[in-house]
Amino acid sequence: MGVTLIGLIIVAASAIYVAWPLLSGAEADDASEISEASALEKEKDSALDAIREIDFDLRVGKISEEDHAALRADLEKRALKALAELEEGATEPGLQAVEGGGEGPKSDGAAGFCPSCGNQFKKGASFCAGCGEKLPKSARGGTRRRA
Amino acid sequence: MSEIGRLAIVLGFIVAIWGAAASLLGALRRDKSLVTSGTHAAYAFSALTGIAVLALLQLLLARDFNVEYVASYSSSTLPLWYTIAALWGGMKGSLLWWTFILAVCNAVVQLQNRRKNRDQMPYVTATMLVTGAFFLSLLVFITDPFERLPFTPTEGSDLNPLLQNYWMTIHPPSLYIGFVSTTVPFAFALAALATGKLGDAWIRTTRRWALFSWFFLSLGNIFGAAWAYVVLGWGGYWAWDPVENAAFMPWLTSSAYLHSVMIQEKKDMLKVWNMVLVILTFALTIFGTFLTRSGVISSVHSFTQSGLGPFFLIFLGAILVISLALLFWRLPLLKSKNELESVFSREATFLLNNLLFVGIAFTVFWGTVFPVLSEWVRGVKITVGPPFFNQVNAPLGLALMFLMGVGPIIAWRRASWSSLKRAFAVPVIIGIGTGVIALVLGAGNFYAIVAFSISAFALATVLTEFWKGMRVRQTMMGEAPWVALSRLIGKNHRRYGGYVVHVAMVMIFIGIVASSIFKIELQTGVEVGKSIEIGGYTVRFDGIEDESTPHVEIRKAKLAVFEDGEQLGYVYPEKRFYKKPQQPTTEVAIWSTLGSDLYTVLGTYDPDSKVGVFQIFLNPMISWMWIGGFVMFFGTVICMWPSYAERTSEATSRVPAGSRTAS
Repeated sequence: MGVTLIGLIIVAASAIYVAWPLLSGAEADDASEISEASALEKEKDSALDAIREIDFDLRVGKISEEDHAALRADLEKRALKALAELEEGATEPGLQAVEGGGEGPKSDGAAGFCPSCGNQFKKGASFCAGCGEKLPKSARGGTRRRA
Repeated sequence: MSEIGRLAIVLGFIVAIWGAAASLLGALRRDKSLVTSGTHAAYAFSALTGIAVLALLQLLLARDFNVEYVASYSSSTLPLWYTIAALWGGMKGSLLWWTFILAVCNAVVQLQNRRKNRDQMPYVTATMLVTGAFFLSLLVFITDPFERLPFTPTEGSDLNPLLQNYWMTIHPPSLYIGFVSTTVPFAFALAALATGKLGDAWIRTTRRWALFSWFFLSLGNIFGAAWAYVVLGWGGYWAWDPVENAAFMPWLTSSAYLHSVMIQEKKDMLKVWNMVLVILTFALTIFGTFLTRSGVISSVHSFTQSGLGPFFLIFLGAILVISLALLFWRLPLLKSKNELESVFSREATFLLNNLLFVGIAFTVFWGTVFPVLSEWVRGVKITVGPPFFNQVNAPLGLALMFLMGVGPIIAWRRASWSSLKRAFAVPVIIGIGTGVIALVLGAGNFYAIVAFSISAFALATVLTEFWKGMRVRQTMMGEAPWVALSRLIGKNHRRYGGYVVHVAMVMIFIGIVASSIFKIELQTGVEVGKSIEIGGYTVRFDGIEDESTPHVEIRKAKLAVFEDGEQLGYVYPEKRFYKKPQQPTTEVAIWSTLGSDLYTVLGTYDPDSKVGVFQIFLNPMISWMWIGGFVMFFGTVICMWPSYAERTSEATSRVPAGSRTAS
């Protein structure tokens, strides 16, 4: 008797729990928008991580200035592209330009990313607004150092 | 209780099928309520398999011998720990245990991605539930773990004595966790292919999972080796047994993936290759399960044989066809924009490292299936033994070790001669110096000298990496050495954790090389009170002690160990006679130091003449393998530790993405 009762409870609980979203017409957030955003976030983070690494490689002397600049330009392009798409709707002429022509951002916006924390910083900045670390000259040059 | 268990697996199977169908349909029709129902099904699946495991555990603990599984794998005298471990001691239980781990992984994935990757999640859920449904279908339709016997035996036939060892409680679970968690990256790879979102997102999402499964595969393999070492009594730890190979192959492809994924992140290359590695790793875990369960290949793991082989082959075929078809369909989207610029670059080193990993995996695969193939083709079963595996894999392993030294310090894109000189001068000198020292000290074996030399080189590159990084931070930030070192690691867990794992690999490699090349072995009879000499040690046979419990009879030899005339202590190798499945086992006794293991095995003892026959091995540096295992654990934990950015982004992920600026 007891076993039958427990069995019935398990069956009923499973069925109700699984069918509930169909019965209640589940509310949900816009899945695709969230997904898109989280994918782009990851895309951006991935590029920023890579930038941080090669910046450090440059300081350690594992990579030549020239190669560093070329790699960094490539990665920045990827990060900026993800950022631009992430903030789609906002006005980003500069970022669009990056995607299109490969020229640096023309607006007074971002000059690059802090090698330490990945925060975006403005042209001419000497210290990162995110973590306060001193920005190395090579990073300050930012996107203009394109090969 | 068995009825509840049976109900749980039947219901779990239905729920899994429904969840997979609802998720797929929901994704295709963009119907949120269907997708949510799929997610609920995933949680329900976890709960139901959890109930089934608890039911089986309860039956084992209650020693309900009317249940066939309980009668076959436990007994009234089996100690509590092994009664719990009997959950995975037999085929049916291990399949249920497997499904349960999968269900737990699935629930964790669902929780992690409640608000992330929503487009991909239906496909992830579907893939994981289909895999879960496959495993449950075996239990529901073919081998029911809750099957009752027509009569109740008064006693169970007990767990195989070989399994009554403390490793039993940790080796199978670690290996299963490693095997099963490869499903997560695989499911995300399929989801990326299905949705066409083939950027870095799926890789970043599954990065920690890939590392997690790699870690447990490593642990499972090391634990398995340690177990074989202490239980099987032949002085070794790895025999290229098909089932060992089955666990080794996914580890190899998974290691390859952990490296090649960095190339995708940095250079946007090897996207197809990474997909292939993820698919291959998962397929190899299923293949491994097939090897263990099918009985097509004879193995030391034959205690889990069954007639399930064909089902695994069909499932394996389905996995490969579906995933490769999806991959082929998406090939145009996976084109890489960058190309390899020079063979002297980190990219090229990583590529070569991948080829070696996969090359070793292939030789292992070939050697494992060759007996079956030869039987099909020529009607004769030709087994390739350890010599084949050793001969082919030793040079490949050496090359891999060499690349492990080169990879971390060679430049991206193309390395110039001057940068090569600057980076490699010190490690190369250290490597060659070590080789010379080994030669002078009398390591006459060519392989050993090369191996020690390469190990020292690889170790030196890792240490210079830490050193240089620390120096840079010291000069740039003016930090004290320890602060600089800890911040260096803190800023890039993955890289420096990886280096620690490299150190562990060097230790394990040295352990393997030294213990296989410089092993000493002897078998001899000795009278009570007399001694045996082996490689600097003297072992004196002090007598025999007999013990008896209702469960087992133990015959224990007392051996005194001396080095240079000084007594170090005693070791007690045993012979055990288990009473339920009347079976003798050997319990080895080991005197272990950093330099070598004195490994003693009691053969026979004749009470009349008071002569004991012993097998004694001297295994140099074998403990380095186990210490390497600990270092690996440590390194992997560093790798997996969330970075500051990740922790903050986790915390803010509840804020709608649109309202955030770049973090």
